[in-house]
Amino acid sequence: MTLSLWFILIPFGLLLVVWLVLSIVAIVKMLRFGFVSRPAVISSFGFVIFAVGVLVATTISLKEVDWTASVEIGTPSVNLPSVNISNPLSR
Amino acid sequence: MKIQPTFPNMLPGERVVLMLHRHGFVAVRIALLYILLALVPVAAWLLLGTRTEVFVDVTSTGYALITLLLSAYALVWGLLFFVSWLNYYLDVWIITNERIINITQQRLFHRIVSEQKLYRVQDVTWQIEGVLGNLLKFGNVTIQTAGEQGKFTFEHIPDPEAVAKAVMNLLEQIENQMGANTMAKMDGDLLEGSPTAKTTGKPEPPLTPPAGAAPPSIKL
Repeated sequence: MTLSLWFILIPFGLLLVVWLVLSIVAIVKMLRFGFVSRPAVISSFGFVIFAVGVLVATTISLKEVDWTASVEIGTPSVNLPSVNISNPLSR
Repeated sequence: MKIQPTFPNMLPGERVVLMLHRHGFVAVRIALLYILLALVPVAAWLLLGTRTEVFVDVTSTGYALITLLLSAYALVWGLLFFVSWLNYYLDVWIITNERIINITQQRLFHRIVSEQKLYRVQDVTWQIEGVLGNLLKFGNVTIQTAGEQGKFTFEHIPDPEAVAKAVMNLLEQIENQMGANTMAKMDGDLLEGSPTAKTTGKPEPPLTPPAGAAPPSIKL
């Protein structure tokens, strides 16, 4: 069975939506109930910077991926390290 | 111990005496856990980079999958770390010259705020336990009150002895200001369950027991 590669973006997109909603709630709570103090503002700002950094890095890293390519389901596409297991019975 | 001059919804004439968070050791413990969790994707990145050729071809499916997984891990890690910090930072105990406010942020969507008038405090207990508690001087303060809430526990706060002493000093000040007679009258009002009118100065509506119920007993 073959699937287009961009299908794997669907679960990532769903995760991103849930993550975004929870992040906004968390930042609003921090700024609302944190008495708008310096640690509350700095930590919120730090979180936003970190999140933007991760998203930008992901976008740059995935820029060259060919999303129209198809993926064969059931066969591993990752090159795993080769393991040399000698048959003890052949010794 | 952190002292801040104001907080939202302060009463007129109210003054913040103490604003307490849990000891910094608790925050450091949370941070250490998340630093350990941050090492997992770094180790995975190094392992895959050295043992496989997945990062060689940046257009491959394997590269895309692993990058998305690492990205998702980083985003979830960041959010959980921030929420843990939020739960730590928004757990606050505020002691003013009039009341004690206990704010507990249990989860992102679970926040409990309870408060009690300072004159309702009956008993203050502080305790430091464990090696770390003794070394870093943090512990719990339990304040027994006459209200429905019963007791407030300030958990893992720095210098619990000083906090307990501060509460006792405030109580003494209130007793001196009000006088023993007023305090005794307030004790009676507490049994009736409507002490707020005494502090706000508003006229108190007459207590009307439900039909058939016995009148409340007043103990002076």
